[in-house]
Amino acid sequence: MRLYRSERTRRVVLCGVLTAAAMVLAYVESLIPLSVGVPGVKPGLANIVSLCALYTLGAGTAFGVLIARIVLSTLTFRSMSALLYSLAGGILSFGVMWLCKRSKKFGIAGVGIAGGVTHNLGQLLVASLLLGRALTAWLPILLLAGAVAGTVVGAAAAVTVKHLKKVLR
Amino acid sequence: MKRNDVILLFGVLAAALLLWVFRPGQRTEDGVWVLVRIKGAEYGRYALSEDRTEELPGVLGTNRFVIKDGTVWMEEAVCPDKYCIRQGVISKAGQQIICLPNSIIIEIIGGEETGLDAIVS
Repeated sequence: MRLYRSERTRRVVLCGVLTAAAMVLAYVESLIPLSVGVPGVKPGLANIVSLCALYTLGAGTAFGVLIARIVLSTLTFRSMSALLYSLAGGILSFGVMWLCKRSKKFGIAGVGIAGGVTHNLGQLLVASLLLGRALTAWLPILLLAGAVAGTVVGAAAAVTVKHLKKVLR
Repeated sequence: MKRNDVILLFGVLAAALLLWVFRPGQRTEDGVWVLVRIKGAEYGRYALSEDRTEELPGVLGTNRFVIKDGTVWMEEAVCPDKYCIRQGVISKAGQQIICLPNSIIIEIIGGEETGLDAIVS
């Protein structure tokens, strides 16, 4: 069924759907209790959306979706103070994912891993700057968590992107 | 997964493992001082060998930490997620307890890293 004929319309609709999907994923994630003792260890399911947007809508639009979903979901489900961390992690990981994709050296899973790891590094960096002290104790755990979460997110995004590309065509 | 993806994954895992194996807490050197920082500035320095309970005025409110038998833990925190309490008990030089919302870092440092004249209690 091709109700939305213009590609422009379909792109706008996809932006909205992706932003909404990211908020749902962030909400679902906030319900999962993960008790590792280190903040920032989480699946990062919303990053599935960033990957999908990057691979289907292009970097510029994907960045817009990223900022929209971070601002909306952080203010809805978390707190104002979490916004700085989320933005830092989100923007850094998006930049790295974009570069990894552009290099054409990695598959979508690799881009997801790079994103997961740099997201955690960005948050750790902000925390270190705010506290005025390098938080080295959490580094290995956050690297491990980012790599594992990134692999899962990348695999999920690979499947989704395959189907989304049909919608845009 | 592409070949490079796998390399990247194992590269990060190896880095994490190395950092874990050589993490500061693994140093054989025993801690001597418990250093407390609030908002990045040094708030107090306590001897690890001396049992005590201290109140720490953080950004959000007052946390309480305990030094007992050469170990340190956060006993009470005003922050909502209590990560600092769940980080458990530390006892080795280089280990940290971190409370982000309250902007408190408790870390154990070894003897030679500090001038002996800087004792605050």
